[in-house]
Amino acid sequence: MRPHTRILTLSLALVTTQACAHHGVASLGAAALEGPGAPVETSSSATLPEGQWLAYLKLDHAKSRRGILTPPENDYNQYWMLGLGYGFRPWLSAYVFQPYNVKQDTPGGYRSKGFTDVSLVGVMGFKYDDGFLLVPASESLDDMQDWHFTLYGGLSLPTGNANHRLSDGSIDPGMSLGFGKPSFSYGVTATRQMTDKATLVFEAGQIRFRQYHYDNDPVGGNPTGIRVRFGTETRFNTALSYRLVTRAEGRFRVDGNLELNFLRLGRDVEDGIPAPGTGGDILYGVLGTRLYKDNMSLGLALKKPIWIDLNEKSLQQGAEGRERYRFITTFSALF
Amino acid sequence: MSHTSVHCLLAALTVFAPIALAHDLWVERQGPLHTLQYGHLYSSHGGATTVTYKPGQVKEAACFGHDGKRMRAETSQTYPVTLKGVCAASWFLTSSGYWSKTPYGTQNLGRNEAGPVLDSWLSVESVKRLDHWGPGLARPLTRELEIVPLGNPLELKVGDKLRLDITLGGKPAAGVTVAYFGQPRGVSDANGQINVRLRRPGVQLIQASLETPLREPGADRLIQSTSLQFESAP
Repeated sequence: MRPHTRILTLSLALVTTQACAHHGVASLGAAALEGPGAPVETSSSATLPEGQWLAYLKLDHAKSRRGILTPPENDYNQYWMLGLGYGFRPWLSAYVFQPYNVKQDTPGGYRSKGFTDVSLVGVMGFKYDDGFLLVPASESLDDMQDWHFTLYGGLSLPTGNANHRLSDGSIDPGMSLGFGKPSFSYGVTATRQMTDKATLVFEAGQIRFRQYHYDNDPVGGNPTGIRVRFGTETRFNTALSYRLVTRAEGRFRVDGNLELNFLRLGRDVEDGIPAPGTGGDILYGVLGTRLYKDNMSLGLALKKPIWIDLNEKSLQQGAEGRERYRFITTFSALF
Repeated sequence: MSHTSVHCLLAALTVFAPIALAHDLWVERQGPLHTLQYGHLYSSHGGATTVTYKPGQVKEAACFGHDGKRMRAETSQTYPVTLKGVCAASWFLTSSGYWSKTPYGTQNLGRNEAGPVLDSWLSVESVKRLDHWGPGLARPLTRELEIVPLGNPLELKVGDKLRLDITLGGKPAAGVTVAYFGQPRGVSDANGQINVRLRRPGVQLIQASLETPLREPGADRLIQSTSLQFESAP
């Protein structure tokens, strides 16, 4: 199988969409201006205000490190995500996401692009204030400085074309536009606004995949199709968000974000055999900023691997951990 | 008493900016003597520490015991207005009357007296000082806009949360903006409750403000503001 960069169907950066999402905004405009910050990649513990919608767009442009394999090599991958969230309760939000991926494969220089699996995620928020309680409808700025937590869980639906064929007629699961079967995600976040300006965020989560039997692929050397189960993805993220600029009159705020994202990729299993050139550990450093204006938020971040321990890393050109950088842009609006 | 205190509080709370109050209303105590003061002691706004007000603006001065019941106390009729009694809580209600914003400036007149009027309001301010605690003080003492601690605030230290009820007419008032030394911290929830964290030692000043429509010849709006004053534990 060609080396691949896997599709992160349930990119749980969704929950980091924006601090404006916090219910406090509905009760006090200053909440967005003075409330907890939200990193760009690490999921914060914000929930959506009850009865309000969130529109979300994310672009993750991954520029690959080259000179690892014989050309042609992967140049870049792009992961787009369109999302819509709704606050059913102050403590319960739900999201639906539609990813769109652009991937360039090696060694043949093939490309695949298209909509992939739709994903659904539910987020339950709670906090600690002389005991654990569900996030209430209204909190003061001082309440927002309590520890807040979320539990999230979700699944992807196999709406994308897992058997997407490349231009030579072959099927590369790493280039597919879906997993063929639902994948499951779950995790927990913790957020504490330490001072009026500084917010600490922690997140741990996993995505688990199920085995899928791809269609017959004589061109790719799998005349009866291949059975693949992608390795489990485990994340431990932490972030510091710091409020840099506040313009109350213009309802404008700028935060700086510093993040460490640890990602453990399990080794893929193909036809029951652990696949070489897959899996490993990566520690990303993320430097970003988030701008708030009224009910909108723009996140920008540069993400680079600062430490990697990949399995057979010489085979993993174009995969996670082998990026020169990832440039991430998010836009969200609450309405 | 100047109208600017209420006006600036409302302005600050409307834009939700961390703007300090232009003026403060507070009570100084020496033994049994409670003196109503007005000025810039706690706000970051410049100006004289105390500002003279007309004694006639003080509509009510009351003394309450631990049980929340009114106690007899002597009230002076000269500036500064005082209340003499051993009070667990002392309460002053003031009103500078009607105010009208006109093309020629803001005047201490009703809308029906000021000529062409751009905006008009009736200003009502109050302050409650707590010196002792009792269960009766965890209930509203008046029917005015009032900040009611749900527990003994005198035991709180810096960093502790003060849990409050905001009441009007003796009932919970939702959507009232609450500030700590002029810094808005949030609005009361559907049950009239809000929590504020103490951020500095010593004297504490919690403020709340509510604006409601007023159908009177003198003004379009009623602007009520109230303060809760106490000293936290060392």
